[in-house]
Formats: sequence, C-alpha cells, structure tokens
Amino acid sequence: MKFSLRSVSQRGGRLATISELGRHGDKTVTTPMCLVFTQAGTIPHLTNDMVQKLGKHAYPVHLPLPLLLESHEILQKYSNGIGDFLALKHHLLYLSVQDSTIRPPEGFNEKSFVSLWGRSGRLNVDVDKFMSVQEAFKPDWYQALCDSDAGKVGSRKRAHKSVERTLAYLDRCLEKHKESEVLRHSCIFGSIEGGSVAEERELSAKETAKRPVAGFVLEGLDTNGPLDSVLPLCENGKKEIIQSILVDSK
Amino acid sequence: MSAPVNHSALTLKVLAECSVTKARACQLSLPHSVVDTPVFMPVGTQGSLKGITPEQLENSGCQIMLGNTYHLGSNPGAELFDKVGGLHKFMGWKRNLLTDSGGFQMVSLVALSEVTEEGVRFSNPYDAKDMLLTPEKSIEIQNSIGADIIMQLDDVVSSTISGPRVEEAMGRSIRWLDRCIEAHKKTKTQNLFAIIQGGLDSRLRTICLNEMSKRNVPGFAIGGLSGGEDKNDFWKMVTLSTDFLPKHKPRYLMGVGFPVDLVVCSALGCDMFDCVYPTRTARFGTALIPTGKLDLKKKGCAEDFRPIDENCSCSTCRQFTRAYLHTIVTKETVASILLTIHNIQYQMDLMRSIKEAIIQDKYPEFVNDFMQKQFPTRNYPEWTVDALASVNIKLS
Repeated sequence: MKFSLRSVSQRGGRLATISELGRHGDKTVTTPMCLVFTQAGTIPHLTNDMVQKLGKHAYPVHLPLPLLLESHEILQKYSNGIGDFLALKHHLLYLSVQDSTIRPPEGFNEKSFVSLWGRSGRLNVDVDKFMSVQEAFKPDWYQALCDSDAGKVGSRKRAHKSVERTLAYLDRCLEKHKESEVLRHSCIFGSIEGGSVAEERELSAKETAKRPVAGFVLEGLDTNGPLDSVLPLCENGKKEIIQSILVDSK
Repeated sequence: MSAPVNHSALTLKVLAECSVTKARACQLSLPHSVVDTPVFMPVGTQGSLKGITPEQLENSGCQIMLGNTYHLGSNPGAELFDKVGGLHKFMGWKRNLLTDSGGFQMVSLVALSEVTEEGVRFSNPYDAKDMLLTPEKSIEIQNSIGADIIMQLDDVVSSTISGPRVEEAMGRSIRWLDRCIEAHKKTKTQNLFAIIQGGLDSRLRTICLNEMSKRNVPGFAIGGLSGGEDKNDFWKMVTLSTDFLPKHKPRYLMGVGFPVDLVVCSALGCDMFDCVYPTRTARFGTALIPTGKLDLKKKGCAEDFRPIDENCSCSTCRQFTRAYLHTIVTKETVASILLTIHNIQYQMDLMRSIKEAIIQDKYPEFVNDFMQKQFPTRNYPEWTVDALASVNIKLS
C-alpha cells in the first residue's frame, strides 16, 4: 500500500491518495475517506445492489470483527476469504477489532486476551486466534489486536496498561503477519491507545510509529478526549484511520 | 345472454389451452402493461413489498402486484391519492396494480366489526374512529388509489362456518356487486371484478355464479376460500367455479397460495393468484426451492456453500451462499430482503414455466415432474391427487 500526500493546508488538513492496494491492482482511493459501516457483514437495511445505486463503486467497507467472529471456522472451510463470502470482494475491506458504534463493557480484557462480544456473548481473543482469523478472513487492511479499554477518564494506570498491552500484541501480530503467505497483500494498522492521559497517548504514538505498520488507528476517541495531542505524534508519511468520531450510538 | 362488450380497460387473449386439463395461458392487457397468465401477484400491503423497491420487483419480471385498500385507505388516505394522482405515482410503480375492497381486512383484522345491508361498520384501530365501509365508499377509495383492477366489496364469511350466514353473505355480495358497479366512476381505466361467494356449498356457489356472470364485469374472482378450510372441499369449489365462468374473462383465485396450490389450480383453469406466503415466509427465514422449502435457520445450512438454488438467477443466488444467509437470517434486515427477492423470483419463474408448459401442451408432464420434486416419496396430499384426476392428470 502506498500513501501519497498531495497537499497539506495551513491548519493541517491533508489531501492524499492511497494506491497499490494489493489485490485491487491499480485502483486508488483518495482521502479524507469515509468507510461504509457494516453489521455482521451487511450494510444495515441495504443490499449491495441498492448501495451501488448511490453511485459509490468499490467503496471501502468497515467490517467490525465481533459479529463476524463466530464465522471464523466457517471462513476457514470456505477458504475464499470474507470479501467473497459477503459478496464484497471488489471492495476495499478494513477489519477492526471492536465495533466502534458499541461501547464494550470495561474491565474484561486480560493480559493475554481481549474480549469481544458476539451474538452469543463474550469471546476471548488472543494473538494466535486473532491472526488465525485474519488468515481465514483475508482482509485488505486490518487493525492489529489492541486493548482499547483505558478505564475511567483520567485513570493513568489502566491507560498505561492499554498502551503496553497493545504494543505487545502489535509486535506479535507483526511477527506472524510477516511469516504469513496468506496475508501478503493485507496491511496491518497499529492502534494509538492511552485514553485521556496525554503522556500515555504520546508514548503510544511514538512507540507505534517505530513499528513497520501501514497506518494508525486512533482508538478510544469515542470515550476519551480530543485529537489535538495525538495527531502530531504520528509520522507524517503514514496514513491514519480515525475510528468512529460518531461517538455514543445511544 | 348479453353480447360481449369491449372493455377498453382490459382485454384477454387466450394463447393456448391445455388439451388435457382446464389450464390456459393468456395475455391479459391492462392499462399499465400486459400480464402473462397464469400469474402470481405478490402482495404489497401498504403500497410496497416489504423491503423491496419497485425496481427490484420489476427486475424479477413481476407485472402486477396488490395493494390493500384497508391499509392504504387509512394511511395515507384517499384524499392524498387524489392529490398525488394515484398509487402508481405515489409508489413509483409503472406496471399494474390490483386493490382488494378492504372487506377482508376489516373482518380479519378488526375484533369488533358489524355487517349490515348498508355496509361494514367497524372501529378503525389506527384512530379509534367509527367507520362504515359501504360498497360505494370502497369503490370511491379504490377509484382514488387508481389500481388497474379493483374488487367489489363482498360480504366475506370464514370458509369454516356453515349455515344460513353463508347464504346471507352470498346474496348480499350479489347486491353489493350491483352497488359497486353503479358507483364505479373510472370504467375506462379501472376494471371492477366480481367476487363469487357461497362458501363450501355447491348449491350456493352455483346460484352466485349464475347471478354474477349476468353482470357485465371484465373479470371474476373466486372468493371466500383459502381461509383454513379442508383442501378436499376447497378444490371442488374452485373447479365448480371455473367450469361455470366465461372463458373469455380472467379468473382470479384470491388468497392462493403455496406453490403446489398454484400448479394444481392452474390445471383447474385459474388465471390469477395472490398470497402473502412467499414474502412472509421469507421474512421468517424460509426460502422456496423446487423441492419445497429451505429453512435457512437450520444448522445444516451453516456450512453449505451452495446458493439457495443453483438454477435461480436472482441477485441473492448469484451472490450469496446458504452459509452466509444462515449467519444473518432473522437477525439482520438485509436477510429478509435477500430472501424476499429470491422467493419472488421463484414464484415468477414457477408461473413462467407453468405458462410455457401450457403453451407447449405439456402441462401434465410438467405437473408430474413438479409434484415428484415436491414429494419425492410420492406421498401426495389426497386433495392434489383428486383435483388433478378430475382434470385427467394421474399422478405417478
């Protein structure tokens, strides 16, 4: 994947193009870009052919993992990847760890796993399972496993944990990603954690930027604070995804 | 017998008649488009097929669909339709529409309704007002809605009851037909169909057939059936009606039905059908297939990577596997839409193959083939064996 900045405005607004999109050949997308939200692999209430009528062809699609996780084994047997399974293979597919429209309950992530909530309840996902899912799903872009539970607003201890754990997950995901033939065309994104604690955010951004990630996901903005402190810390040449500025779906 | 009158709003051309059964394939020309019969009309109660756009419906090959006067008359109401210029414009449907009279819903949906010679009095559940639906009022609302085919207000009784009420309803339906004919203002653009009543009593049905066929209406419906009565009685009333009704006018069997019913009743000489079944069962996760039904909620579909039907050309079957549909059925609204699209296509394809078989004069073979797929162990329902035998088809 190649991210080319075309222009930056005085206040920092950026226009860019993303090309070399792996299995999508010479297609490009321009940014700022909005991903189309899906739930269990469908755009709520709209069939694919109806969405085509909006004139958006090969639009990028956001697939939150929680409601798709229970299909892991089915996808392994299916072997053609989630894009094909959902009849969305001509679209750019981004697989995120959580569903950003739903705030998961606090306090359910442990050191070695993250909790996701599927239809039948809580599912614990460690790095091994997570990467096995990526290999079965074969997304274009995916967010590395991350702990986005930064605890109560202002809590330093939990915020620090979320940063530490996320970096540890990221390193292991990167290792496995590198070894994986199947994920050759997929790009991995690192998540900036740290809740509302500026120093933790700064640490997370600086450390994540040192890893060979294709871009950054600014996590936890629906629960903790503004963007200002975080954005400048991400390397200029890299792409960023802002996950859900549509806060509070309540 | 009066000389046939040219109804400018409808012409029926019989293309082929089965040499064995009473089946016929026709071309029914209506104000908005031509309809090939036998035809299945999906039900779009509130002016839409739940979840489907008119364009998606058009793509399936559907040429005529139903709207319900009771629902549309309450919301948005006749006045709005007058302002807009009718339901076709309102919902963006370029092909044909048929509206029922509102009578059936009033009786089936409303706890307290009272039928008198004047009309049906009931309490509207939407706004708790007392309303009287007379034949005149029903036609007035239907004139505003503007469907290509409109139905008389009939006195509907449940097919499971017997006794003097049935005869009373039959007699009243004839009188209400005359009042509807009198009240109907748009004879050049809308076709008023009569509805044969008489319950499961062949004497009463015959009286009704005799009387109603004297009236100069462009088409006839066979009503008062498909209400939970014994199928062994049902088919006899259908075939009695088609024996009697004039050949040059369409016959509409109301509220039918399941795929097997469509195949058998086409053999008995019916041209038009309507039923909520295919669309309703779709919303509950059941797809229609040549061998019967496929319940996508069942665990057996979880790892089935085939489409619902490998021979179906609908957009659902072209894109999705049973395994995928299993993950979303009854949980995501898109699942209802995808299954509805499939079931409508199934019905359209079924009717087209019925028509083609009749035109090729191979309907008995078609029926046998269809029934064997639906009942592989040959455990045919008794009524189908009898009904088909009555039109010279022996199920093997």
